Amino acid sequence: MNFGSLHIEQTEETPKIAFDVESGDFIMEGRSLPEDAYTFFKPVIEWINEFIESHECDVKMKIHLDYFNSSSGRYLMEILAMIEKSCENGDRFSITWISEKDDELMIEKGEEFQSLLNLPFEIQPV
Amino acid sequence: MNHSSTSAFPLYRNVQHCALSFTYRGPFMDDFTSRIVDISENTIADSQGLTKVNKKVSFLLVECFQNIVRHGESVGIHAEAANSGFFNFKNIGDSYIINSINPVKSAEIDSLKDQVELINSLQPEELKKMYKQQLMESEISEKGGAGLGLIEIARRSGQKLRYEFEKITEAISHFHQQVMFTSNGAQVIAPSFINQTREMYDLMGEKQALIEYKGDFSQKSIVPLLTIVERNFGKDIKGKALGKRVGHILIEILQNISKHAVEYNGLCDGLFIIGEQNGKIFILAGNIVAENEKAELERRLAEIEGMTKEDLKEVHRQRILESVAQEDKSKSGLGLIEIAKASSAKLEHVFDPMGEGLSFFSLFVQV
Repeated sequence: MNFGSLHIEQTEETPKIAFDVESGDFIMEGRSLPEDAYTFFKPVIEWINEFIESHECDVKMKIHLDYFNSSSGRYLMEILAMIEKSCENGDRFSITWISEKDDELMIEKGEEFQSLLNLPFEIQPV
Repeated sequence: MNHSSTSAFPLYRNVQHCALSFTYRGPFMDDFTSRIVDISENTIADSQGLTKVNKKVSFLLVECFQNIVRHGESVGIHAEAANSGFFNFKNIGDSYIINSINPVKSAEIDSLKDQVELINSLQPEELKKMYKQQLMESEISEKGGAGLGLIEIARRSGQKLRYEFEKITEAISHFHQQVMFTSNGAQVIAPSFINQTREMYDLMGEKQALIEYKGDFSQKSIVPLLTIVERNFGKDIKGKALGKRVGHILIEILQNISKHAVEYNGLCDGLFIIGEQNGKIFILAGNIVAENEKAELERRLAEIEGMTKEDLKEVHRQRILESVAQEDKSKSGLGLIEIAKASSAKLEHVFDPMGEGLSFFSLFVQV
């Protein structure tokens, strides 16, 4: 089947999404502040769902967010939980959480996700 | 809990009739103007849809602001006082009003008064002529005419400038200035907001607030507000990203308010101030809530305020995990928990009764 990569341009309040099927490099970067996080994340979640269903995954996901609001946090968690589940079924995902080294808060957020998930999850201060 | 320090209601009352109010108290920095312009453009573009108005607002904001910065320097008051000023921009109906308070040397009052009076006495054609003259004179004389900035402000606003001087000490006085214009270009006799601005000055001084914003709390205001906060608060003494922490809490507060605020007088809005008390940054935010929401909010806040940091982490963790299974993630109550988690002290709140089944809800958060 023909299943393409996912690209969503960055805006001032939503992150760039670049999930490349060929290389397995999944990038999410920018800010995620939409009041209605559902509308933004729904297609991303659907895409990941379909990707997991149809591919044997070997994915390096890089998340580099400047800010995210609490409702975006819920959808991020949903995405990561889907990934966690697919890993139980033999898929391979690794998550790199990138934060500026002086950005205590985002590092803390990364650690929160890390503690909630059973996944290769690395926090990388830059 | 000291009620008066936690309530944002007196501030709200001061600007209640404004669709938008933005106040800045503190050192005036030049690059700050572009941020104010961002806010005004984002807010006004939507309510009026008039780019012409936007341009004018932007122009006047920049001129007024820079005029204060320049003036502060030119009077040669010691650096701190020269840079500290007070600046409020508001929108009421078709009117846009800029009020400022800045220190001047008492000895300069007469010459400043002469300049403003001269400008106020001139017709548009005469102002234009004076403007051209000033442009051509390479050396701007101190006493001859008025400064270019003031002339420009008067020309663009199309209204008389309002002003007052208030003696602070023998040597220093406050120059209160009000510039106004209307989106339809109508000549109106502008009501004076000088007393109201003075009250805001005192209220913000009491609370050591640096920024006040009253208006729409919807998404489009968030990005420019965030930029202002980041620029203003930058990094703390340990080099940590303080501005980001302030921004993070602010986003949650604004989005929380935009979800719960009640429409009043046709406006659905709120107010917040950010300031610094005892070396700690705080955010004090407020909005109108319906009586029937109050009980639920009170219950949730009491619960959160009773929790330790560890409790909060655990509850947050549970809620996040639960939400994965939930279809509807909008009703989470996660916002307040997030705010409490990011705060360095316990949250404080106050409800001020407003009658008509409404209360004013204030939330005080220490960053």
